[in-house]
Amino acid sequence: MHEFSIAQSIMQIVLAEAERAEARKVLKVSLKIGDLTAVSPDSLSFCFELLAKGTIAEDSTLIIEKVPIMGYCPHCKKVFSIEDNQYLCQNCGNHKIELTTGRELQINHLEIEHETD
Amino acid sequence: MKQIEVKKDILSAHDMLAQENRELFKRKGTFVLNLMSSPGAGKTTLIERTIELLKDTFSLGVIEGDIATSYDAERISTYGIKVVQINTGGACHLDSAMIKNAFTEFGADRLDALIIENVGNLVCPAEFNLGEDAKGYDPFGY
Repeated sequence: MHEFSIAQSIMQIVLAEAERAEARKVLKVSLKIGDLTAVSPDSLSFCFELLAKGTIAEDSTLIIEKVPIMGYCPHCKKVFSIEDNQYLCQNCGNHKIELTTGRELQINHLEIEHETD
Repeated sequence: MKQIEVKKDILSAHDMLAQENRELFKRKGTFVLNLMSSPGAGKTTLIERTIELLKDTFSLGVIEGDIATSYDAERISTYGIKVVQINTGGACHLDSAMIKNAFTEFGADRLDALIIENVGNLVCPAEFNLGEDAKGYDPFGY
């Protein structure tokens, strides 16, 4: 259940950014979540919804873009996707690979409404 | 309607706290190990054996993370080592704020090394840096 603390952090950032932009309402929150973070989107949306109640982000939509785990082999100079926890170069079997994506836990952008909208 | 770019790491506030911890540990000259693994893997046993081997050479401290109980802290305290218990009350991992508070409980005693036994779980703890020097984990998840 680390989704709850992640949802709390999201809410803090969303409300601070919305206030800075003088928003009346937050409509959409778009996130990038890497597969390595083991975050369950359903559970995260549920926690977010609970925390949003009574704030300007109430009824906003959480859009989650999942980012697959990708690796880079410095030997073959190739990028490949990592599936079933196979942390090896699929070409040469090298295990000294670098992970290029998959650890993302990021707020991309918000859609907001102003007083005047 | 307007779109605003945010591009912020969700755990950035937490990572700042972790950085404060890292600086605090460095100032105090304490090496910090964050030990993580699934329940039953042998985290507490590994700490017990480590204490037996090192306690005459180094001053050691242990922070025990547990959802509800203090069984592990009781086990460690029989070795005459200062232990601070953190009960997360349901949370599945330790975070930097908890570690910062717990560390103050060691008071003025100088610690050469601090071992943090994280909550038995190998999913959530991995995402939360505590400001440690090294992470200890069992790559096979046993």
